[in-house]
Amino acid sequence: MHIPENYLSPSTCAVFDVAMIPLWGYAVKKVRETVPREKMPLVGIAAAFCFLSMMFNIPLPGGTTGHAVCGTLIAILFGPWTACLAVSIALIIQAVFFGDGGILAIGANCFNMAFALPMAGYAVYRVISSRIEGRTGELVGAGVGSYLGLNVAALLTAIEFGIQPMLFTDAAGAALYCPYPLSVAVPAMMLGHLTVAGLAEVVFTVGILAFLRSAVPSFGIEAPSSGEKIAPAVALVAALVIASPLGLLATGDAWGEWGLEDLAEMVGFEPAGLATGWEWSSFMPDYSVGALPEAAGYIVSAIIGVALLVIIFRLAAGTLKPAVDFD
Amino acid sequence: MPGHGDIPGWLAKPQSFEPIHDRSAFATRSALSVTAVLRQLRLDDGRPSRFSASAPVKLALALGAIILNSLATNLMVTLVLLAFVLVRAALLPRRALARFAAVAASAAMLAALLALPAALIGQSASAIRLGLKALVSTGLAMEVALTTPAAELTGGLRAFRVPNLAITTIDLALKNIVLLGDCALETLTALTLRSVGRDADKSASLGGVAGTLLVRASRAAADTYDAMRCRGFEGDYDREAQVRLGADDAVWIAAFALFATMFLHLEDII
Amino acid sequence: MAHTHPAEALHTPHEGAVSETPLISLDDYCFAYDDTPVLRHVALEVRAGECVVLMGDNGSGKSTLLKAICGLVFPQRGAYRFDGSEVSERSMRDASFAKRLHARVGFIFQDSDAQLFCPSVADEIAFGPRQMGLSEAEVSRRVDDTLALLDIEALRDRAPWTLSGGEKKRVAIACVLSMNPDAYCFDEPLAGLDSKTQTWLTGFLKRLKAAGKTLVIATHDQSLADELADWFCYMGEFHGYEDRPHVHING
Repeated sequence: MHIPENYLSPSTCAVFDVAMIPLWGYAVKKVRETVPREKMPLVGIAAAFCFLSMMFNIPLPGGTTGHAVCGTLIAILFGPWTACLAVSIALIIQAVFFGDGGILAIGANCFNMAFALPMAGYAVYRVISSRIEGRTGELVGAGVGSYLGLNVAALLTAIEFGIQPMLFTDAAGAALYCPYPLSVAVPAMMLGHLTVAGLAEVVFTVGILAFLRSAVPSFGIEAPSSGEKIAPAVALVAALVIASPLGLLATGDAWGEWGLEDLAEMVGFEPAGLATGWEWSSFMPDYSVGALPEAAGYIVSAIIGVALLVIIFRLAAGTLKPAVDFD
Repeated sequence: MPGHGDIPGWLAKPQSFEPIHDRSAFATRSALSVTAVLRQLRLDDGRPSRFSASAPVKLALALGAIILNSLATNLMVTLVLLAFVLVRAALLPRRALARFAAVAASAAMLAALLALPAALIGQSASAIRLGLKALVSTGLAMEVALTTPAAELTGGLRAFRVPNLAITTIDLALKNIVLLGDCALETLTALTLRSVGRDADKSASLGGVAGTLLVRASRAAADTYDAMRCRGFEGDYDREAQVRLGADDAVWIAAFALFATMFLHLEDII
Repeated sequence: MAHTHPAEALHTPHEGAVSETPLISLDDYCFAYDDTPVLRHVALEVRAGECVVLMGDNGSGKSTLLKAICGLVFPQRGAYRFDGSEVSERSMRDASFAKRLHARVGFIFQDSDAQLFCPSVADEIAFGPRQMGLSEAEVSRRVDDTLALLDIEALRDRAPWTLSGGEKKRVAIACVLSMNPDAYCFDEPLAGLDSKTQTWLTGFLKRLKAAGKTLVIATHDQSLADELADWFCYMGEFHGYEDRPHVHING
């Protein structure tokens, strides 16, 4: 679901980039108010789950691939605004270091996956978990919420793709950026995400949430920190890292993430914006680096991404005021 | 002329002082912040973790890794080391992590900045690569320093047949850097408290501070030497190099051997 | 319940107290250094012209409290007001406000070495007044007066680092005195001095107090405290004479 570079016009990108700034500002404010300092490393681990889930590509009907996001998971554990910040940071790391998602398109990607997804998912979760009691209510709410959240994000992405050929064409009427109109983009994306990708999101979200609730009960914003070991959570992260090469098995690009040559083959021409647009050269494009087998590159990427996220959130914890007990 | 018993007139009245509107606190404030930054470079509070290797092994392997990183042409070597450095950093205690981040990030940005001309002629990959290499090398060095008590760090040199006298000198130097840093901080604070006006010649005051520090440093050095003489020091300092390798050391050495093999493979040497 | 000022314990307003509004006023002052609480809920009021002695074991926060009064550290909670104006990180960012405060509160460090940084004693004493923009004539007059007052005229052209401990202490006091602050903070003034100098210093402090200056003195020395204190401030676990006017803070 990551929108690559040059699939959206610069003006579309600019709109979303600008729109995200107050949202990020507000998210930072809410995080400082609601997340206690000692919980911030846990937010880093939750962000790591999110990052890893996006590395497991799954084949979708139609020949493309998709992935889970787990933004709702973070929202349930630490609040929707924390999720907005955590998913945004994960997306930025993916764009800058691994070329997954365009740099200019960061605003749009964050709006879809870091803002809309967790907000929608969390709202649904709250409605359901208040109607159904206990652990069941929580897990059902997580499942339904994350499914709906993912599809809201997919729909927004499809719309952002779909309006490009309508609004941005060259003199001859050919699309400058994404060449697929709404009538193609929406069904194509929704088909995959309403089915397989949505299922993956539910499995990841509910699975990880259930695991955390039983193995590490203090993992969450409401639970009091009892200083117990978070080793099970770390073990799960490590397991996902080692298993990440499974995400390479699904061949084929995700819908809307084709390279220029593949796209040109499919539509018969090279959209001008894509052909001549600026491209950021990340140092591990597509999570791989040359000589070593792809799996090794994938695992190294996963390790780097996870470690970076944990470091960022631990450093962020340092900027929060410590709760010094003066009594 | 007031006699020794009388309080002079100006002292008996309250002083009414209106400071001149001017931002001349800048020089002392920047000197104070530089001193505060220097305190970050203390080497005296490293703590090893459960799986740490012994100091000589750490020093040797870190040096080896830094050398291989510098020699590597294949980016994968750097990235594998980067993964290790980041994971180790993620597990550091909070204050150590903050220092690591500050130093490693500065080194990386400095290196990337120096390589900026390459980016301007279309070779931006070089700038990024250099930044990454600097990040990895500095990160490795910082991690060794942050996870080893200072005495063990310098003591580890003994295993490499560095003369004991040199090690003692380094130890004393480290201690005195810390002490001098504290002295500097105190004196600069005293200067700040009395700098209530515009000073056309700030350099004179700061020069005075530096001069006083030098005097105190040389006096402290003389005192330490006298103390050592009183405890029987006569110029020689013989201690056996104790190199005891444990099981953790074996694991680390094996991991490094694996890494070195990967390096040789990636560089097409084997 | 801790009192901020032992006014209740005094049956008559003591001599020297110039006005009712406190010069130094700390209210629920909480300060932590690197996550370790050092000052806890400190409430303290010192009126102009009073001499307060802080007594407490090592580590009870005496030096930190003095630094707070000088505006060198800022509270995580609570407030400190000097002559009615709040001294906080924010207010001290205003350079004029900071300079005004530093000119009105003098701090004599425990280690005189830390305080002296000019090439000669005369320069050292002249530094403050010159900073304050006084005319050269006035500066010169103050240097002469201060040298005479502290009985160090012979040291006028000496370099501070060549002086003995007692001489350094006199110079350290001189260089603060020449700025004529309203309040003086002394951190262990008698530390490291021979008994002759100690006697001289005690007498000198009495004269300062008689001249109407406010003194806040941190000391272990009971006899100094006995001779000078209007009232005591016992810090931490320390318990001194219960029959003297005192407050307990930071316990």
